[in-house]
Amino acid sequence: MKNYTLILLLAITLIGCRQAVDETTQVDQSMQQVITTAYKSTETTNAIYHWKTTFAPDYKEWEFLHRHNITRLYIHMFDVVTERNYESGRWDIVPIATTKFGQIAPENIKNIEIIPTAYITVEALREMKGKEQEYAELLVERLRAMARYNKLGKTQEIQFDCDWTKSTRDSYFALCDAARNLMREDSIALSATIRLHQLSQDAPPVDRGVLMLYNTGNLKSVETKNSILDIKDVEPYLKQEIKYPIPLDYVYPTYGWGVKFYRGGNFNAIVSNPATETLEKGETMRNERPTVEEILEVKKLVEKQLGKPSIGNIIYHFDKEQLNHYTDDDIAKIFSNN
Amino acid sequence: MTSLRYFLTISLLLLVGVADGYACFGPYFQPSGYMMFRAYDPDGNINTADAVQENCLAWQRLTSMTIPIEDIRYVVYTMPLKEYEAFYDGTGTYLHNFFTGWISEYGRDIMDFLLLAKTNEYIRQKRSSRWYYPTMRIDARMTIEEVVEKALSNTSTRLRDRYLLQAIRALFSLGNYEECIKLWNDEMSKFPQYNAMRKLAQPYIAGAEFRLGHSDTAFQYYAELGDSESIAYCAKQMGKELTTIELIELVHKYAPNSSELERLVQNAVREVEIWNDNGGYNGYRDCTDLMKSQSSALYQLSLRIINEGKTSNPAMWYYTASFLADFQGNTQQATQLLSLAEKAKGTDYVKESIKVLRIYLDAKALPYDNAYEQRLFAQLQWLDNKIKSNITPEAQEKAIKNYYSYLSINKSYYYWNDMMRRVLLSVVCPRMIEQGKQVRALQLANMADNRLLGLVNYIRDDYYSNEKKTMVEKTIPLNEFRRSTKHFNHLDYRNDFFILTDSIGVDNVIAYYGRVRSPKSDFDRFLNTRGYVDRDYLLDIVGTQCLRNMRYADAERYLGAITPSFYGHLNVYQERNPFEIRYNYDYNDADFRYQFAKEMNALECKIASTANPDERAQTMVRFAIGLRSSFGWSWSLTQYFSGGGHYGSKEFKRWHNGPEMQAAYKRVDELITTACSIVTDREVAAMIQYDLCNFREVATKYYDTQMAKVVWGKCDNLIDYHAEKQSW
Repeated sequence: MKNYTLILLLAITLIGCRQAVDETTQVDQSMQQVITTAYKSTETTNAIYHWKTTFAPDYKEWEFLHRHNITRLYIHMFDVVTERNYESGRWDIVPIATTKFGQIAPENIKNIEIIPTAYITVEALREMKGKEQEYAELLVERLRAMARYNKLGKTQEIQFDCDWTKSTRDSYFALCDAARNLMREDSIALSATIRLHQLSQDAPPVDRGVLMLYNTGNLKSVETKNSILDIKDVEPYLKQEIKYPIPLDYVYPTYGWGVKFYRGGNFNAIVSNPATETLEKGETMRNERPTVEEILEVKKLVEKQLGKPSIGNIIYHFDKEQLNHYTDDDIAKIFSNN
Repeated sequence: MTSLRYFLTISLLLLVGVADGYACFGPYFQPSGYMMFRAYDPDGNINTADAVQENCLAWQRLTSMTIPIEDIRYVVYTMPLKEYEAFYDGTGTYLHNFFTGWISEYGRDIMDFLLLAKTNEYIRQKRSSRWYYPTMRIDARMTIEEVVEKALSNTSTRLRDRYLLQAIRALFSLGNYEECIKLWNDEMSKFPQYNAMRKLAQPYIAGAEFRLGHSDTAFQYYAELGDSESIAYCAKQMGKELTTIELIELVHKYAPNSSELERLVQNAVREVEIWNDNGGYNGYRDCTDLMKSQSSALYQLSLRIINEGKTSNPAMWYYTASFLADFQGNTQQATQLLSLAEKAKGTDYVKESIKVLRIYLDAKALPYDNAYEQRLFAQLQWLDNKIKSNITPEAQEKAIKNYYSYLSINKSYYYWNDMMRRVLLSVVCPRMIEQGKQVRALQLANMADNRLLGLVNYIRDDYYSNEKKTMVEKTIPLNEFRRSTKHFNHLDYRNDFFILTDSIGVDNVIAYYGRVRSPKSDFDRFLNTRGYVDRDYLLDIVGTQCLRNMRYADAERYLGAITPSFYGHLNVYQERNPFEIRYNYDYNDADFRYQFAKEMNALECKIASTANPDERAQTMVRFAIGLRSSFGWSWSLTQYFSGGGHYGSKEFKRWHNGPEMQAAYKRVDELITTACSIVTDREVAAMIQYDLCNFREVATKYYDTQMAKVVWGKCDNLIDYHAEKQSW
């Protein structure tokens, strides 16, 4: 009798599990549908990253967004790092560099979807091992709370940015999985940044990916030609056509800087305004700013091997001073889906 | 005389009290570095642990006196919200807890209250997390606004103060400071001052007042609570970084009788004491000026506070002023202020500290006559009683575990013993020596080093275990430690008493030994019973010093009186025959000093009584070799310490090239010269040179002797040993 009861219980459990799996699949499909439907209506959806700790665009910046029909804005909300707790002696995982928001006129973001984004350091990810569910809850809730509090409109997607590698992959995937499950009920998608070196591995369990096509070279090497973008650094990762398992969009750099080296070639500093920088005897500086031609060359290669972007192209980043180096025509060419 | 000069140098160093710092070790303090100022009684003030206990007792009174406090503490303080919710809903596992059992049966209102209180704390904790962002959802069954609403709507009289506290806490978290203050003014402040909830609510009200810009009221509340850290914090927020003295002044302004003042004053004075002991450094930089200005400002403030007359503890302020006057070098002023402190009203705790300072100032200022001896005797009896009756298990454990390491660096760890050591070693002993009272100085130093050890009577030591083939740590009775050959005796040969005996001169040590054997007064007996006066230990010290001074007959007498059970446990050993220049590993007499003394005495007598020049010459040479080696390779015959390194701040006297050694070497040279000049037989002369290892001399000058044949038969490249250089 006892055995029969056990078998019966096992059967019920298995049926239950099956139902749960089916439900998950259904939700995944419906989520994909939501995303596809949302972006089907426009031919391309232009997007831009805001990666500063104060969000207070001026009139000209808002005007830039509207002029270029940018309807998606990825805003960096905070970084997740480890910090020594001197009372407990342990490493705490804490948010830092939380973005401050100035007044936002409702008409300025009327047609713009904000995607709250959090950068997670690898150290924090390592520390999260085994506690991914707990931190997924905190990350999701904090990103959503920031969007709510600062009246950034209805959140339809949030994004994680992390330079995960093979050794931290499992933890990152568990974090993404937990976060996606949390947001499923509210039909909020989870996207993640994908770095070129991550293309060769499994895709994280997220709804969409954003391939970062900047910071492709070795910044600190004096030998590097352009660490922001150089097709020679991109090509090795895109030698052949790739069928990436999740929809991808592409981010192109629209910024530049100077990289200063000591005499002897050791890295010294990044210089935000190279024109005014003075060099000591023996020091050298590399000016880096990808030209539109260089960006379009990379774009051609990326689209050849990975296909057109699923929603649209993205530029990095929303900074008036940096964008001034590119003409409207340049920006239009980068966004163009033709 | 030289010894006296030497000891006075040490004493001056002790008085200066400079702490040495060595890489990989902490600072080494002189006995003057023991922290003396003491005004704050930690046991007389409520801390967080006491407040928790008080609250648990209040819950016990509210429910049932049969409920164990631990059960209450678990439910009220430890149980997580989720577990409590499960208990509240009746869905949790069975709890073997009398408190939950009682409230689920008789105290539904308490159950409701605890749910609210725990939810409140849970939400507040979440809100104070680094992750918190306004509008963040918190997984609790009510919002913080609902907590306020429910807390205020509850009219239960018996839980009203508790609900008010919860409402104030929640309102504070919401930033509704006006409402916090209103609740305080309307209701909470009406509860008696001893009410635990009122006490717990007051810091929130202080914080609320400050946030509303009412800094005076906030400081008033904080001062009453004894929360000087919050006062300093608020002042900093207002752009004013308070110095320690300004903070004391501010607390006194608002709460002149707060016990926080005792704590702040003690911290300020001890800070100055530490800087002073570090030679004016605070570990990072020179703070001599800060030390002077802080002590001077606190001195002035103490006098001002006494004049204002608001304090109910004037003794503490007089005591502070007296201590600082002495610190600034004005001992006379310090003595006068201390007399006022003795007469003023003060706590028992401070009165005891005043008594210690009295002992210290008397030792510094009074003439060392018979009247002072009697006064010191009475003071030491009082101090000794304090050492005996106040010893805590913690101090006892420290003494057992670290006695030597703490003693060697004069580290503060047990106030009463520290004070005895500070007074005796840094002031009384040097002054006694100055006055020619060496025996008394030795007695006092012995008590300073050994009183606590004798009370504790155990020592923890590690030694190599042959059975376990490793180092073993063991707590053993002191007597066993001292009589064992397994343990290295670091206690009795490295303390201040030993260093003093070793440098104060042999006649003084002999006199001291005599006073131990035959005390002349009650004070002698008091000191003898509180020091380590083992007969063999002292005989060995006396005998060794006689050897050092070439008093071989005395040495034989003293060393010969040592019982055999004492042999072999000294801090030194001897494995080389002192009468042979050539190394001999077989020599390992346990009573090597006695054997040496006996033979040297016999040789000395023989030199005096032998008429035969050859025999006399040979005896002289043997005596000379023994004498030289007793300061050379066989130094442990005359010394307990040789070398460069030792642990701690102790100033060991190094005997190398000292007057005793120079006198001995002079005698050696004279003896050898005389022996060589009086010898008549060439064979004997050759044997003498052979004993002196002058092989070349034997082979060349005494080529026709049997000894020359022996030498040639062993080697053909001969050299002489240079005794004066102790090398070939």
